[in-house]
Amino acid sequence: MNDGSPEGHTHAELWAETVHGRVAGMRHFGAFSELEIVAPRIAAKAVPGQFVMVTVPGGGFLLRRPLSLFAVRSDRVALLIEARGPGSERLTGLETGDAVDLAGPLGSAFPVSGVASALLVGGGIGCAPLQFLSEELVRAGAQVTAAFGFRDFRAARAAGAFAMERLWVATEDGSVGRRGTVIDILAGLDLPPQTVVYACGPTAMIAAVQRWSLAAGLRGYASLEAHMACGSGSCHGCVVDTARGKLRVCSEGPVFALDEVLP
Amino acid sequence: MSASLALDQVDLRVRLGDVELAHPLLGARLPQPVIVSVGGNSPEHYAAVVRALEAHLAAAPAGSCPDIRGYELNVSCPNVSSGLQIGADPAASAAVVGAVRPLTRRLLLTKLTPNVSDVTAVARAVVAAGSDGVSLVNTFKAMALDRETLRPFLGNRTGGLCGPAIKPIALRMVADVAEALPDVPVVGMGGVMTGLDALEFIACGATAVAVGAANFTAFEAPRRILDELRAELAARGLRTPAAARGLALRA
Repeated sequence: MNDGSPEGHTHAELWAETVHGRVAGMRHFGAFSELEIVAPRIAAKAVPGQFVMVTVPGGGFLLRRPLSLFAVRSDRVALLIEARGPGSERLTGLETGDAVDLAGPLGSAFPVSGVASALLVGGGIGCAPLQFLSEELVRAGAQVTAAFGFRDFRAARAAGAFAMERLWVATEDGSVGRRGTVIDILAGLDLPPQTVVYACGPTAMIAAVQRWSLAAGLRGYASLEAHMACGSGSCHGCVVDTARGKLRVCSEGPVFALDEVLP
Repeated sequence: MSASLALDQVDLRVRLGDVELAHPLLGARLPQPVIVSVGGNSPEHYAAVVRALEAHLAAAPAGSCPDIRGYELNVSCPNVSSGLQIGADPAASAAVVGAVRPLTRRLLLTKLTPNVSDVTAVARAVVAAGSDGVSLVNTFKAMALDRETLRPFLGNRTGGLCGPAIKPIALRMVADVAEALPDVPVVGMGGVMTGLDALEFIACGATAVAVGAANFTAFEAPRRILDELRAELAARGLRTPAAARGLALRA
């Protein structure tokens, strides 16, 4: 009792204790970088949609960064990172063999069972969790179609990090794929009825996918992005309005039913 | 770290005179005793929450809910009538304590805001009104800007600064209160990241130390800090934390 854990649970299960990982590889795709970390305990438990809190190595950054699981490969987890500020810049500058602390897996998962056809919609760095999801869906026998939207050519190079059979790309400047947004792709797709929509990206994209899905009569899930301090439900820094009231992106989410989020 | 944290961590849905206890932890057995943080915008808000919790605890079968040992009154909330922080006004802070004190025999702490010129005046007022001790410091009102737009980064324009940046000021304020009120228990906090930080708060007169922001750097931080504190004490030949209490204070 006095070690802080109710009977039957270990600290690691309850609190996502810090794991001391080791960088196994780094690949750069334009504005995005894929960081692969040896972290067996996290890799063994993770399911698509979940995230990890990553310590920026080298000091100077107090808060950990919430990053979606991009892929899980045996004892390794891969993260897709867009360098947006000094913290993410340092993370994308890591090299094989570097030490990196992380905790997880955290948050809710994308449901995948019983899905025959899935439409994955991603915007920018929001595409990150959809690779892991795609692999689980394919393993579960689903047919997967993906539509990703990026700002420009440099961002669209991130598509090269993904391994999907049917992946459509749109860029706002028309430099890669279709000119426009993911919604312009969706209009041209021929999808089976009962297709389940999985969306992750900026708020405006989630709202557009929500409207499109409603009109198309499709149900689905949305994974929301948020700034987080703790990543574990205690700081309430990532609360969003939903049809179920105010919920925490880190704990009740990041995956919500598409029709319950209110972007 | 500058943060805007919702003050609904214990999610009591309070309507005056009609409090609905909704937090899932209220029905859970927790391994450690609990001190409940209570916030509000008027003395009646605080009293309504404590009254509801006391009624819940009195009615709950033994062992069916957390072992609530006391309350920490967070008086850093704005006052509904004045709009100012309750904790910036000794009389308003004392009024909150006065409304709660008759409702419970449990430990009553008041968490003081550092956004005042003399924290000892508020400390004296809440102790005189029946607070068993004080916790300090809460966060410093602060701003952070979006680097590109140069607009406020936080949705609420300002937030509370906590973490290592505030430790030197927090130490000074804990020392001020410990010197002014030497017999009053003080929970020291503000940027405790290591065992040495905790020892410094004790040396400044704290009788207990709280850890906030460090939890955001690693969930297991409190256990590590405790281990480090034991080592720091041993390295100085101090047998207990009490032996270190007040070493930094004027004789």
